[in-house]
Amino acid sequence: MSLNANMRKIQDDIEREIPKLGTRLDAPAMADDSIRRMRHVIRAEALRCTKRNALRRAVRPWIGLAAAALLAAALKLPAPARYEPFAALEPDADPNQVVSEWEANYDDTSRRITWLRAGWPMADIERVEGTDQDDALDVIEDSFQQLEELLGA
Amino acid sequence: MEPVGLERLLRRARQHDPDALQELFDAYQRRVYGLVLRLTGSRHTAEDLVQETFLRVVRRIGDYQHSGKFEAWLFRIAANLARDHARRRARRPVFSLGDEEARRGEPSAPRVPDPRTNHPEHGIGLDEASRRLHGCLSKLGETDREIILLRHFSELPFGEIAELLEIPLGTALARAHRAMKRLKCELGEP
Repeated sequence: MSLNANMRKIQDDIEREIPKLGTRLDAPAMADDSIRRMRHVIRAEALRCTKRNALRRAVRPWIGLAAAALLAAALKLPAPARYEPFAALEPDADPNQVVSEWEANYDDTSRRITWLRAGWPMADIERVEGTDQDDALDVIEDSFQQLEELLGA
Repeated sequence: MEPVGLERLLRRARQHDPDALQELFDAYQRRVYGLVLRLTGSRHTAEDLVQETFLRVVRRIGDYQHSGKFEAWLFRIAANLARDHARRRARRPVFSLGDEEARRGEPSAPRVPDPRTNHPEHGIGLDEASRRLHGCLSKLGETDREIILLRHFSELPFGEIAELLEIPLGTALARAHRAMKRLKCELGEP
């Protein structure tokens, strides 16, 4: 008898035997109020997932734009001399291209943010209240926060 | 559930349609509950695990690719949760509040949980014959018991049960065969 035939015979034996245990194997049903409670929980989770997916779909196109706006704002400022990545960029670099490269190089959300933040050690920049640079730095700080929220980092 | 009806239902469920997800729950909750109740021996734990199983279904259904194996997917989630629960429980030391040390506010020595007190003959309202059967089941090894219960509750073929437990089909059959022999012997059946 081949191994397969052996296995089939064993399987047939078990298939015959298990039903003989019949209702003794069955379990009591769950309480009605537990079933009702779980239905509510499941429906609520389904709605949460629907909203989460809708939000994700709605936000996705804006993430790129937010990042582009952030980088565009950053590029308008004179970069700190010791800051290499942005300083190395041409002043008229295309923000979309910068964003694409940024996304390609940093596929993890939190690494992207960390990289951006590291690029702008804003605490090191001397602020002069009321100047355009001061306003721009505020915008960048806000943008970082918004970006973090958008990307869920 | 009929394959065509299930496929239609799953299509809606993947869009997170609450009615479809509730229908899935209604269709399968009894069997999932039976399995996890038999595996854990506690109504309370079984209810928690059923809820967690279906919550995972809701969260992951968007990624689920239907290839006629929804039940295998569902029961894999349930069985894995029951197994994780058993492992956590086995790792967690059991303390008795009645211990002299506890009364004095000192930690008592950890006790190894007795798997037989955690099994289905205890406190879930069974008749005598069922109680006896489940007493025998609780003496089986974890995987052997799981195979018998999965076959009964999930109604999956052994090939899928073997896949679900990540063991070769021959091993699953041999274990099931041995388990059935032992059960019959314990029950005094020919």
